[in-house]
Amino acid sequence: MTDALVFLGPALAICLVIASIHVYLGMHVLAREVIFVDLSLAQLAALGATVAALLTAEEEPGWQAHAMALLFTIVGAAIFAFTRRARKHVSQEAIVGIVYAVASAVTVLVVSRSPHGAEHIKDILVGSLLNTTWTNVWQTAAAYVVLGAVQLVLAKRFIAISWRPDEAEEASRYVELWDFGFYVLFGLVITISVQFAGILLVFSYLIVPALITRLFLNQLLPRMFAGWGVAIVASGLGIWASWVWDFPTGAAIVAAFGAVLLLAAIIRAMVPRSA
Amino acid sequence: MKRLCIALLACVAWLLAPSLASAELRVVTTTTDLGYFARTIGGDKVHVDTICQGSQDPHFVQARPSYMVTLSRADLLVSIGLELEVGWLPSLIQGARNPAINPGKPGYFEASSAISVIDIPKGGTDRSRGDIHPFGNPHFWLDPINAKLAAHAIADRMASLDPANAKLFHKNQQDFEARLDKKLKEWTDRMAPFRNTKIVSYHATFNYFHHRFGLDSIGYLEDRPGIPPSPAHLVDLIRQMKEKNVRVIFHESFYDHATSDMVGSRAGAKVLILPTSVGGANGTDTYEKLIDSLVNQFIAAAKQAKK
Repeated sequence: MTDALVFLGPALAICLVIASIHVYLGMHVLAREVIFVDLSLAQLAALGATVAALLTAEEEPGWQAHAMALLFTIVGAAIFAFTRRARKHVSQEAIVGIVYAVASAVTVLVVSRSPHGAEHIKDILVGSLLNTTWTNVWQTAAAYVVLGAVQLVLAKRFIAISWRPDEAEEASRYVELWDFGFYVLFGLVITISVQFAGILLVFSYLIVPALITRLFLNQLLPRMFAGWGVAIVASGLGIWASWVWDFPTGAAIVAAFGAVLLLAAIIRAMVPRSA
Repeated sequence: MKRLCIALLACVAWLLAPSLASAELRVVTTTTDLGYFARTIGGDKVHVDTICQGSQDPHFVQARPSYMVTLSRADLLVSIGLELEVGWLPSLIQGARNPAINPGKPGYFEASSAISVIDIPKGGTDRSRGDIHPFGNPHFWLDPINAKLAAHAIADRMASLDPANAKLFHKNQQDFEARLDKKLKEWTDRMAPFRNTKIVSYHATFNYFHHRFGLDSIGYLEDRPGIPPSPAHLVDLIRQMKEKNVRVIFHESFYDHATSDMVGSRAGAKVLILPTSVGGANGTDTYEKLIDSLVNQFIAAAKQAKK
């Protein structure tokens, strides 16, 4: 058991740090029905990092990689924000999907011209939770405290835009700009977490707690607390399974999320809704 | 308070005890070939664990908790080196928190340091040409002479870490060398009629094997690892293969062989799907059987092509 804590302690800690903010953002994503927006933005960030690797020919990602990742994320945020008024004609999900497909394809093209490309693509998909260090945990926690504070300050406006888009558009002429701000903040959170957890796991942290809690609850605040509970249970379960059966950690947690969701769905089906 | 401290220390000692109790040398190798060498040398005096399986691509290994636990208890880590494991081993070493096996320590050994490296990129390293290994081709173990050199160096390192068993290690290593010498003569004789046969391969895994037995490799199917080859490259390769009458494609068993099959059928060449490490296919549980298998399959294909 002590061994498990020594080797998986940082992985568990980073999962909890990631869960803290992703559970909240996932509720937004679900309300907006842009389920794959994280995949899309993460893929754009990855494309940025790959472009930087090609331009600088550096082996270790330096500040250029982060700057490029950020730049590409901002471009993505702009695309999603400024196409929102078209959502009555074209589903936003379609645009999210197209951005994901094109960004992935262009990444392959760029990688074909750059060294160590293949490893890069694999890392983005599954992440490397096991290699997380305590330094990573503290840095991420610090970044998320700042980003979380900004979210908190702007919560009222973002909630209005996510849950009542039509009203928000009538009330303010600058909805696109606020929306742009939301996606940039979202993109910043995602680009950090994807490095450790990988796209699949980040997707799970966003969507599964938001979905499970919506089965049982309506109010945002209770849903957030319940969502954190779900995320903690799934992370713990996944990491435990990874230790006991020696599975890759990230994939084990994703599977645990799936199991928890299945269990919740069964309970929902058997217990009649009281409200 | 004092009592509590003592109790805690006792607990820690009890938890550490199992790892300290066993006196035998604990060796961890990255690949099964190195694992086979270490087992052959160490006999029952060492405990050998291998991270990468024989049928797995040693360039990519997905980290698992047990790898770190194994490494945390190791006295000696033997890797191939030349950046073969660069994508995954450094972070595993970091995660294992075992100072004894950090690079530069006696408990860390790169077997490639014992051999003479081929395919070193000329004129500096142009990384834009893809995943080329800047320090030369790391897949040295498929040349039996390199296997002897590596086994010798591993025996030396094991002997220095466990002097009590040094004699045994060296004796076992010399026996292995004698066995390989005999086999090498057999392999060389059997391969002699096929010297300068032109072949292509998927990745550069078999270059040392080709080099040892005088096969003439004229190209690779892959442009860059993990990236589908461009159509232009394949068309050009098929043209060259027809021109130079290349009838054999060496294909690593862990890569998808759809591309090799397509090229093989267009160019009229046989695709050999080959194990690259000990345990990489049925009946390759020793290094000698692994090379046997490569030699047998190549000769069968080359004979068929001559008809």
